[in-house]
Amino acid sequence: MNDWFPLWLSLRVSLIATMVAGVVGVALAYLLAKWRSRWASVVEALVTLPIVLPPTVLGYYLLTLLGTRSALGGAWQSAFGSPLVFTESGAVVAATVSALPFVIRAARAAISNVDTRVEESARVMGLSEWSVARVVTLPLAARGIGAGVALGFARALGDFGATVMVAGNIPGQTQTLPVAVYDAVQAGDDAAARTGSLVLGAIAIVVLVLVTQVFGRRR
Amino acid sequence: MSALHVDVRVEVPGFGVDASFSVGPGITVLSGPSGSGKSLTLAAVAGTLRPVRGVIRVDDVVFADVEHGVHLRSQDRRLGVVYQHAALLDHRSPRDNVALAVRDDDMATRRAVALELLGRVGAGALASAKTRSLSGGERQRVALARAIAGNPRMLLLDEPFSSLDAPSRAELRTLLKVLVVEHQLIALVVTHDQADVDALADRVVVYEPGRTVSASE
Repeated sequence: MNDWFPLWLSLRVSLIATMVAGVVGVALAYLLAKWRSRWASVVEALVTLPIVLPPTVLGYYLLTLLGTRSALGGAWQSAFGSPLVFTESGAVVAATVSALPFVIRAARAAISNVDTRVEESARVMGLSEWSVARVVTLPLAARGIGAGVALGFARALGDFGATVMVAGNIPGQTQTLPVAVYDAVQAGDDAAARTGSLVLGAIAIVVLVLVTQVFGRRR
Repeated sequence: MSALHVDVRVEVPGFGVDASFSVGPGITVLSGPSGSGKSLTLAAVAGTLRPVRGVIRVDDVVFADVEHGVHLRSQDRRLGVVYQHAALLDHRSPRDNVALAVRDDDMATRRAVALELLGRVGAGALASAKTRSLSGGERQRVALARAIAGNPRMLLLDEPFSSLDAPSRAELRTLLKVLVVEHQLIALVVTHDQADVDALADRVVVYEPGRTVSASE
């Protein structure tokens, strides 16, 4: 594989997507973990949907929601002067939505597992709810959150279906590595397909080892 | 002289307790069989559980008044707590654990106060230790320092010494008594250990399953 653009684009897109999914996902996970309402499970099901939906279907929903003829897509175009779909930003949105449920599920479980007595002690000794979250809950849930973020990154990096629907397959512009591998197979370029697959496989293995060794280790 | 007045019903799914007593400064032991509602009462005083009926107040400060819809947040009750398993933050040093409870905006001041309090409970040398590596007795010393760090109206202790060996338990009982007298605190202690009752209690509130039955000096 001579053209490394798809790899750099994939890394850039998935890093930005992971950052966005990390911030949004942890905030949502915190609310879901603390929100005692039957609606919490409905919201959780909705944000988990990208895990079980076929990626192309997820991509279709996003395309419909963010296309130039939609309200959101139109607002984006008015604000930034270019459409969101079939751009690198579109790829970031697709990767973010794909990564989000992995972050939310892991973070929610980790936050729910924090000993409530430790949180209660902190409240009783005068810490505000924000301080309890910042000083107590999130640090104690850090390993679970870290594992979720790492898995979210791997998911964002490997996304194909949603990305190709929302960002398309424009070489040198929106063609991420998984899409480039598909393209190479279609064109009979085995060497490029093999190289791309090995790179993606290696990154996935590194992430999984990281999740197991760093975030999975008992304290 | 301050006094705590409790006259409430507290419920959790499948169980409820009616608690009624008034106590002043000194150590009050809540005594009774497991599941009689002692810890529920403590949770209601701490504000982590809302009573379904009645009033909790310290002098004129109403912590909870169900009929009038009053429920003061835990943060605003000015309490110190010590649980059986200390509930310290293992990712913070003992000094920072205590400093977090000091009510002052300046972190340097809070840390200075924390060092002083750790020294007061015989844990000055542990200020920068790894909290995770502390022994049970050391953790409870730090927890006691933290409990008094916020200049509390009252101390709430739930089985504070039950996981300790006998010598540590004896030392910490003495320390608790000294701190309560020094700071003129109201302290509520939940314990199953008769030795705790004998050594600590200025008065005892006796529980039967689901209600308080008597209070004695």
